[in-house]
Amino acid sequence: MLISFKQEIYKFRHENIALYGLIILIVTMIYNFFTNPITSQSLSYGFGAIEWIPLIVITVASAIFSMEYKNNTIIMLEYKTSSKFQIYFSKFLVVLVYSFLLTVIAFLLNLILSMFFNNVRYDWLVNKNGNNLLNDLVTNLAGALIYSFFSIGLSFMLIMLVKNNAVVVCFGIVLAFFGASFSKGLMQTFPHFISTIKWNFLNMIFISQQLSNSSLSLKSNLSSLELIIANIVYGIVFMVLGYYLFKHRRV
Amino acid sequence: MRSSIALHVDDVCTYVGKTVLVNNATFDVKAGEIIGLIGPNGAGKTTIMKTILGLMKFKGKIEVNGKNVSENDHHALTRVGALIEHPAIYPFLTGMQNLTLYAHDQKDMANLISELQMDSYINNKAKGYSLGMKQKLGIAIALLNQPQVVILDEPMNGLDIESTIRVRKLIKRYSDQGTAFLISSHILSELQKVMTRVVLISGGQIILNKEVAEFEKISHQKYHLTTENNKLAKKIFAAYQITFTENENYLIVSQNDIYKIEDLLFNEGVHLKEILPLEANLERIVVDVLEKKRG
Repeated sequence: MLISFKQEIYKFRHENIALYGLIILIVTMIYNFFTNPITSQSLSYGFGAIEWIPLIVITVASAIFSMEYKNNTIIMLEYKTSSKFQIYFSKFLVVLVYSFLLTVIAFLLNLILSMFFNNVRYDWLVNKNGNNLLNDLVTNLAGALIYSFFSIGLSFMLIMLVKNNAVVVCFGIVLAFFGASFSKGLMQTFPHFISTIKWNFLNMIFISQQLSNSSLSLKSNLSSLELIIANIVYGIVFMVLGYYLFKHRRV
Repeated sequence: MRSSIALHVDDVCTYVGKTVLVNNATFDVKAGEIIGLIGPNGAGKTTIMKTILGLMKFKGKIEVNGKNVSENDHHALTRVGALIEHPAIYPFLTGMQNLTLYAHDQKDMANLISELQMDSYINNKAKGYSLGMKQKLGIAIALLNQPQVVILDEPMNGLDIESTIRVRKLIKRYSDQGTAFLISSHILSELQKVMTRVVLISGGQIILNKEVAEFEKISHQKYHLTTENNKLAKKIFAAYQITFTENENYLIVSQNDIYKIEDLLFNEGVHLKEILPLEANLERIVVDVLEKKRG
């Protein structure tokens, strides 16, 4: 398992997509910082980082698998590794570590931008609605990280199912930008079934904002704890389904 | 005797859904042996190779050095090297990095780089490699870490003459050291230069499994003859139900019929200009065997 993980790290370090993902995150944060008004909300949302991180993670997660099939290296990987689970799980871990790194970088960049390039000084430790700004930022980024776990599971499952990187990325974009409104629309259309529909996977995206803003639970119809548990359960279910598909996929 | 068997394939059937791709394949590869796996397109050569590598669902038994291989357990394959279909290379890594990913021994890696003459480009990104360069890198990866069994699917694809000779020498050297090889190739003349045994597969079934020397004897059972009047000779053969094939200016007949043919042609006044045993030619033998099988 350790050898597989090391090999995955070695490959990942040399892949351009990991670097491109990081550059996209930095560029979008800087763009948002300079083009939008700076508010305590935009600061706590990491200048859009909480939306971009899961999207980047979906793209990278699907690419890390599809490139093995594209380059025929999956054959080598499969027969050289004693079990398919090692391959699958080590890739999952690598993307999870990557999403953690993105979150840490987003946090640091957020602090740098707001402290050194902003004329309006925000006190990160001032209380606002019971939370301080620093706490809101950390909570939102933690939400984004949990949602990244969900996204990796979803992405791995989708790439095994549709076998097309572009389709998975498109699905990720739709999920990131329209997931919440689709979910709200569903709940408004079928109000009698809210108790069931509120658990739909599109609703999980609320985790990246709701943890610091409990008023959003009125939209998601889920408490913060329910959202955390549901995201993790969905992530695990997607991961297991993805593994099942991977195990039975012919090379 | 059993201990010298590096690869044991026993009554293996490979499935995709309910379709049987390989049916009751049985053969052994001894340590140091080079087996040529040959057959027409779609015969099941690559499928057998993938099955041995535990990449496909199968029934039967596959053992590498006495250890079982299954679809879900590849522990027995730790000392198996393979090149299947296309070289398994990461284009974003250099050739050296591709090798480093799998190599346990730097000296072994350096030797392979030198023997396959990859020194000049080994530190370049593999995405810029030509087909031949990729093929040599794929072969080097398969030969890393002193494997006990090596499976090569069309290893000479895209290689120039010099590289082909180098690869052939390398295969022979590894075989002398005890590595067992299972090689498929469409370039049968090239395969003929290295292999010690032939396994012929058609329609997912192994139809022939012989030592090369024994296999080549088959070709000597055929004669090629030229007469003064081939047209008339053909009529005579047809009348006396003698099987023959025609090739440009000569006729190919079986050794069993040769005395009868000589008598018949003499009696009918057809002068026999030349009669020669056919040289051992793998391609022709394979075609003959496959034609016989098809009836």
